[in-house]
This record gives sequence, C-alpha cells and structure tokens, in this order.
Amino acid sequence: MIGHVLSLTRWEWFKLYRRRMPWVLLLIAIAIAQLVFWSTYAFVQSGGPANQTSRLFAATATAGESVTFDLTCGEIGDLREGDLPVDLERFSPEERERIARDLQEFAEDCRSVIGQSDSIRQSMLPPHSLRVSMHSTLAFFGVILVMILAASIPGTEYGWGTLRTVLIRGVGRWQLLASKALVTALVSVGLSVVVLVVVGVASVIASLTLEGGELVGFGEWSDLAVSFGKLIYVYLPYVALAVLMSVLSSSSGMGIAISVGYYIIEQIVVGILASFDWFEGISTFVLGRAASGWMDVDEFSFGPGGIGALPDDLPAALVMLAYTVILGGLAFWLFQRKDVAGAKGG
Amino acid sequence: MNDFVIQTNALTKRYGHILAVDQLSLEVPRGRIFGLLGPNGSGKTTTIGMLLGLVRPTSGSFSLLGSGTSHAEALHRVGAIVEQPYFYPYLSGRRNLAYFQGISGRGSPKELDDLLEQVGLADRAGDRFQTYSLGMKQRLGLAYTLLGDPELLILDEPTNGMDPAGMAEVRDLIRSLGSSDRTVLLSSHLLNEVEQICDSVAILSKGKVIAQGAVGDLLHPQEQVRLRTSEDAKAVEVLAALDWVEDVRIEGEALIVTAPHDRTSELSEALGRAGVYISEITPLQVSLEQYFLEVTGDVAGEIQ
Repeated sequence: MIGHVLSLTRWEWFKLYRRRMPWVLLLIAIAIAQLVFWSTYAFVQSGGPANQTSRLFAATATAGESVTFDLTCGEIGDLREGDLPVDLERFSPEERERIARDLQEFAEDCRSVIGQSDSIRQSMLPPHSLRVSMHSTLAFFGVILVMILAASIPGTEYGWGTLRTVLIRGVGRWQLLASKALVTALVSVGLSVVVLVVVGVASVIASLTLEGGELVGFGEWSDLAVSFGKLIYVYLPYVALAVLMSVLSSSSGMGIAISVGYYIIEQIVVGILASFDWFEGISTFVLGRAASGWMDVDEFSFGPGGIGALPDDLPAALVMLAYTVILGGLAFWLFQRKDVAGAKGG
Repeated sequence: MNDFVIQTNALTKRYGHILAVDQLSLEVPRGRIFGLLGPNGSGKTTTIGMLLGLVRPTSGSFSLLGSGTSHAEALHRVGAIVEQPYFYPYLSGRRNLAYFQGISGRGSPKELDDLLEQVGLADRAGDRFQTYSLGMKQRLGLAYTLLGDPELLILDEPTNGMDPAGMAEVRDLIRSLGSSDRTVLLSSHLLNEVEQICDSVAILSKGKVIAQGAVGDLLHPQEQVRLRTSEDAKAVEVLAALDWVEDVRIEGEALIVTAPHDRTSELSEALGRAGVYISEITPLQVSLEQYFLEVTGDVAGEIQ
C-alpha cells in the first residue's frame, strides 16, 4: 500500500516537474528572500538604527537666546566632553545640567539601539542569516507559497477534469490524495532548501563587507536543523488547509483564494482582537498565533505575530498538530466521498 | 466465468430532488458490443460514472467484471472514457499516456508506440495535448482506454466532435475492438451509431431502462409492407379478412400492412383474386429511430 503511494508520488512529480507553476513559485520565493536580505543589508550599510535615531535638544540661554541642536546615535557615540555642537557656557547651570541629563539618557537609549543594530548586522552573516530567513521570510511568505502549491496540485485536477481520467484507472482515492500531499511536502522542503542555499550564498557575499562572521560549529548546524524542522512542521497545517479548501471547492483558484485569504485575514483579526482581554485566553488556539509562537517570530524581524505573548513550543505544536489532523482528515474524507464531474476550468 | 461483465441491481442516483438514475437494472453480456442509448439527461453518463466509481450510488448495487474481484481491481481491467477525454494540457499526448500507464503500474513504452500508431496519432504524439483538435483528443482518449489491453471498454460518446470521416474510422475501430473477447459498452445519443456498431442495446429515458435487447430484435418488432393499389378501400376490406394479417391502415396514398414478410406473395394473390391491382409493394423495416420514438415518446426529440 505504501509502495503504491510512493509510486503515485513519483508520477505526481513526473507531472509537477513539467508544470510552470512550481518553478514560478520557486523564483518568487527566492526573489522575496533576496529582497528582504539585501534590503536589510542596505539598511545596515547606511548605518542602521543608530543613524535613524535622533533627538532634538533645545535650550534657552540666559540672555534669552534660544538654541536647538539635533543629535543621532552615531554622533553621540563620537562625542567627547566639550564636543557638543553648541557652546553651553552661555547657558545657566540649571540648563546645562538638564541638557547633560538628557544627553546621558539619550546615550543609554543609543547603546540599546546600537546593540540592536549589531544584532541585525550579525543576522546577515552566515549561519544566522539562514535561521533568520527560516523564522521570518519563509515562516511568512513561504507558508503562502506552499499553500498556493498545495491547493493547486489537487485543485487543477478538478479544473482540467483529469481527476476523472485518473480515478478510472483504478487508483484509490486516498492513495492519490496522499501522494499529492506527499509531493507537496517534498517540493516544499526542496523549495525551502533552494531558498536557503541562495540566502546562504548572498550571506557569504555580504560577509565580505560586513564584519563579525563566525565559523559554523556543530551547535549552529544542529540549531539550523531544528529551525528547518520547525519550519516544515509549520507548513503542515497550512498544506492541510489548502488541500481541504481545493477539494471542498473543486477548484485550485478557490482553494488558493480561501486558504491564503484566511491566512492574511487571520493576522488582521488577531491584531484587532489582541486589545480585548478575553482574547488572551483563546489566542493559543488560533493557528497563526501557534505558528508564530512555534517559530519564535518575536525574536526575528519581518515575521507575523508580535502582538501579546505568543504560545510556548509545546502548546503551539499541539495546536498545529490538531489543525493538521482535523483539516487533513476532513480533506481525505471529502475527497473519498465526493462525486467527480468533468472539467470545471478553474 | 460469469456471462455478464456488468450487472446492476436497482441502481439509483439522486441529486437533491432530481432523480438521475431510477432503479436501473442492466445486464451487459460478455464479449458483446452493448449500446446504451438515450437522450441527453437520460442518465447514461451518471450510470457510467457509478460503474467507474466516480459517482456514489444513492442506493442499489452493481458488479463489474464479476463479483469475485474488488471494484478497484476490476477497474484495472477496464478502459473507459466518460463524456470527453480530459488530459493534462501541458503534457504531450505520449507523456499523458505514459503517466496513465505508470499509475496503473503496467505496460511498456512499446505499448504506447503501438497504441499511438493504432489511433493515428504517432506523428503528433510529442505535441502538447492543448494543441490537439477535438478529433485528436478523442483519438488519444481511445488510446488511453486501450492501455493495458482491458477486458471491458466503456466509451461514452466516443465520436463526439469528430468529422464524418473520423467518426467512420472510430466506429470501425470500435467494431474491431469488440470482435475479440472484449466487451464494449458504448453510450451514445446517436441512433445510427448504436445501430451500426452494437449487438445489443438498452434504451434509457429519465433514468430508467425502457427497452433492452438485441439490436436486431428491436429493429424488427413488427414486419410491415407498404402497398400502392388500384382500390385502397377494397384492399383494406380484403386484407383485414386474412387472419394472419395483424393490421391494415391507410397512410397517405399507400396502405401499411402488418404481416410477415415471407407471406407477401400471398397478400398479392389475395388482392389479385379480389380484382385489386398492386402497383408497388415494399417491405418495411422499423428503424431503431422509429422504435425509439415509440418507446420514449416526448423525449425522443433530443435524439439525433
């Protein structure tokens, strides 16, 4: 039985390999990951948050003269005593004391911002760049692309009417859907690997101009492997959702629209409901929140979530498992029972 | 070995309040070309869909290629095409066949070459399916049904969209396929197609079998003769008196006499004795179309 599913999976690949859609999705995934990476690179190279953060200082001299000056974190780092861009001697001791206090406070803020800037710069260097790409770019955009793939593989069979032609050959329905789910999972893994390899290459290139790259030790590789496993696990409930929607609607277009629409709308609704206390209690059971918690998106930029406390690993994993089993089970049950008509063109 | 490759027992399919197939009981004998004839919406495709596992019956049962095998196993010995051939538009004809051969787990590249040659698609086998004309798609569909040398072929409107030459060619092919031990179930709304190809036929109307039997038997339920005489009224009187004449009626300028064809000379003799002269005598054969019109009544207009 498993051998039959594997054989069908091979033939699913035979078809998929010759379609344009997976290659287009791969190019989009690479383009998005590269866009995010090189945008961050440009941001870091331009001085990062330290240059972006500034504060305006104002003081009134004893003669009634008003003076203002603007400092950035980059500038305050270079300042030594007496290097201020204005002559403070003209001001009263109280004014000078106030400005000194403000400057000290700003310097403390800047130390934190510069630390953040260092962290971003570090995240661009291998191997951190790969983890960041997994936890932010792929955990968000990757999920959307995987849903498109997952909805398209069974959905187009309805649209072209080929499901009928396949089933007439005596292929079992659940074996067929299992092979489609399996090829989706394998292609998703492949797509993620290719995106990460390209990010890795970009990261090596970037490290030539950014200081602080590290040699990858065993610990880093195992962290990367764990992150990759977590990423693939995040895909599962969304694959199940997309497959269910395409089977339910007998259409790849509808399957993609409903599942991707749900994914995006869920983020918006969570953002709105986060302001209500009662939502805190049930937010763990929301798929997007569980996925965000599982991928620790709060630690990485560009990811979804970031509103309120995210679920811990175990509850997040259980919630995603429940979604995968329920949505996937429904998809199989429906696929097994549903009458198959001719081409629908969608 | 069971004599019937398909047996249905009170097979029923209901879509909401629409009864698509109503208590259908059908027996398709082995080794025959069996026609399923009916107007659009008579339940032919739904019946075939149920036999092929595409549509779940609401009630009733059926067996395919005997009751000893599972439905999935039986389907491995069936080649079928429903309504029209649906293939992957971006794959070539050959790759489409290779895929369907592959998922069945049987066959060889040589089989593909032979089938493509047999249906006349060898030259275009490398072209994408989406570039094929409807006739070429039908041919590829036929090649698909023949993958794995099936015992039973189920063909739903196989000449749909073909030009007359293509139709004749495909009909010849179907006849040749049915000349071996293979059974062919041909569903069509084309009377002449069924009449030309099939040995037996079941006529469906509104989801029910309304007639079933050998095409020859359905074509000759009554033997009739058309006569042109010098005195129709007197001829009716004379012929009505003969006990082996079932019916005599005047239709336009002729008489239609229902009587065995082998007693035509006795008709002539009886009229001659009464002084009625015959200018024309023509044995009539009831066509399937006429028969169909009789048994289906108001829905017959949809049949061509």
